[in-house]
Amino acid sequence: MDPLTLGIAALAAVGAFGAKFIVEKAFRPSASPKIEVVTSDGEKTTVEASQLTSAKVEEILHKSATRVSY
Amino acid sequence: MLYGLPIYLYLLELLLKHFAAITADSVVGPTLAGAGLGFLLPLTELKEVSSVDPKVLRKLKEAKAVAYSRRDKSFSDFVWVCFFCALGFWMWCIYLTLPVAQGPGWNAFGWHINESFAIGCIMFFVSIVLTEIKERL
Repeated sequence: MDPLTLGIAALAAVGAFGAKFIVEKAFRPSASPKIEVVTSDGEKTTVEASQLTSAKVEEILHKSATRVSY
Repeated sequence: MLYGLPIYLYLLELLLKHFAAITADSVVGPTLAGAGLGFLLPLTELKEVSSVDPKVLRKLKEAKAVAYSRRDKSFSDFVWVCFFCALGFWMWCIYLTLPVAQGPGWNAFGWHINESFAIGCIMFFVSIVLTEIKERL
């Protein structure tokens, strides 16, 4: 058994375990992330998740339909 | 359990070599690198947006529109770059196990480092970190 190789394996395993805790602390999901809506004609619209309501979707889809008809 | 994969693979290979009474170069490095690649590929897929009303999402789906988090999209693009880099490292890992690649190798504190295994471990570690980040996006 090569102790150095085993040490590297242990380091990778412990490191991965430690990284999980660091990432948990460092990355908190945003309460209202920015959402990108891509319609069938390829047009992108960015809105905050909290503002993406049925009315907003209707507005985005209507704009898309208008563009397609032109 | 999953995080111990480098140790399990190394010990299993040792056992196999011991019972089969063979001396061969380690293939744990390319195996770990392959596992890392396997973790990376699913991360390229965009997650379904959970913070939006399901009715709204259904409406978008009916209109053949898609909605995704911008952070997730940027991360997925970054993962694609990592994936192709990882593919190159995986090939390098395999190359290092071939007889033609046998050289003086890397040394630390008088011990010889198994280069292929070290690269495999780094790839495994990086892919685990990226997986954890993806879960929190």
